[in-house]
Amino acid sequence: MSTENFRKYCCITCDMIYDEELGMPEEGIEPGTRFEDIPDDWTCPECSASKSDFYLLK
Amino acid sequence: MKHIVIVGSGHAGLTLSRELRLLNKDIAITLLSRDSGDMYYKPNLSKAISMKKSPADLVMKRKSVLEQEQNINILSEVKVTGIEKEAKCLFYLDSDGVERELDYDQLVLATGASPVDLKLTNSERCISVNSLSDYEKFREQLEQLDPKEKRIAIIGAGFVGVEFASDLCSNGYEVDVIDAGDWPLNQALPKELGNKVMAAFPSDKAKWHMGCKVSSVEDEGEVLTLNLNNGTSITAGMIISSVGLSPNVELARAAGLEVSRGIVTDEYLRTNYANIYALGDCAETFNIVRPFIGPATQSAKCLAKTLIGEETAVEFIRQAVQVKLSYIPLLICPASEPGGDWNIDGEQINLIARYISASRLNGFSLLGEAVTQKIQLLKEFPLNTA
Repeated sequence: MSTENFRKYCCITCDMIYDEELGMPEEGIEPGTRFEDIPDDWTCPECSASKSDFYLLK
Repeated sequence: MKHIVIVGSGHAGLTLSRELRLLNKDIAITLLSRDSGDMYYKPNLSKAISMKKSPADLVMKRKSVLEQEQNINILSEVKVTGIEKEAKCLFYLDSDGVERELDYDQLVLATGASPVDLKLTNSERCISVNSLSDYEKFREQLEQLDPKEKRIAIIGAGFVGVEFASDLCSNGYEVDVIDAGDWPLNQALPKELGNKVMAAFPSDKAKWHMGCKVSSVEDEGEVLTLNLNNGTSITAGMIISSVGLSPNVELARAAGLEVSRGIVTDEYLRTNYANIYALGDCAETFNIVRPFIGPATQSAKCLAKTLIGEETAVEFIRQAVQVKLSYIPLLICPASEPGGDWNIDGEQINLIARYISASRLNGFSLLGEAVTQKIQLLKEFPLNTA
């Protein structure tokens, strides 16, 4: 897996950030996990928004 | 064109309008708000000082941005005064106090909940924080505090009370926390964990007055004096009252809708009257009021589908709520029924407490390093629904 160009995604409801480089180990998502590789039924651990409610931070 | 009217622009109302617009670009959507209509994330109010955010910084999207992005109409600073359910219209006072009428095809009550008022004092230095405008007042009062009087009394040690206690203690203030229960979060935590939470706070900054009530408050100009029913008196520069929320049901009740603790709905979030729905902190679904973000999000997504004709029953997926304390990690998955027993595992401050009802896991709380067990605990639920 490329270690470059990790992206960050932000929850539209609560501003929680998913950083691909860090993953979310406490949610069972290993560091380096690409956003598209997170299961579609995953929800924001803070506010329960859907995966599709996250937008790419540029 | 179909017109959906949503009363309330909190998390529930705004999530619903966003979901509706994602599903259908043509329906007309109007939100009515007693506030400014700006979007903010309410759970941040009790941790904003630590986040180094001013009240203005907490606004995520202005009303005008929401209106444009979602193609909706937000009527702000209004008060809804009545519903004429046969005629499918409601009445409201606009921001100038003029009574107006609004027709709907479907009406959603997302009126939220209000802090319980103990009516101990009329002092403006006793504040309940349940909206961004409340929070602005709170920060104004905080800035006006006499530099020598850094003590703040917090009445009620629930989710909001303990988070405020942490936010204040870790930012140069001292707190006195008063609660009628024998430990903080006593409805969501067993005593052993509640005691650990208290012990995690710096003892020179936080004093816990558990198992007591405030009998009276005296406003003495510079300070407020709280007289507790155990004979203790406390002085404080200001008071945060956080003794719980009461669903805003008056509008529904006056309109003749079925109301218990909240506005009663079925699994489709329908009230007992056609084309009127209830959502979020004001709603009582399956006999439970769920004043948390997660259930409101889940409900809003299901209701959006139902309103456009794809009837979707709400399912509440079990979730753990993070209680953000500077001193110790804490996660709570609230139980859905009373009368169970706590089983506690772990050592020192790293504790797993399972709430067992009818031989089944019905809720849990995780403290310290045990918060890393969240996913495993959620998998222990017989059915992942509440």
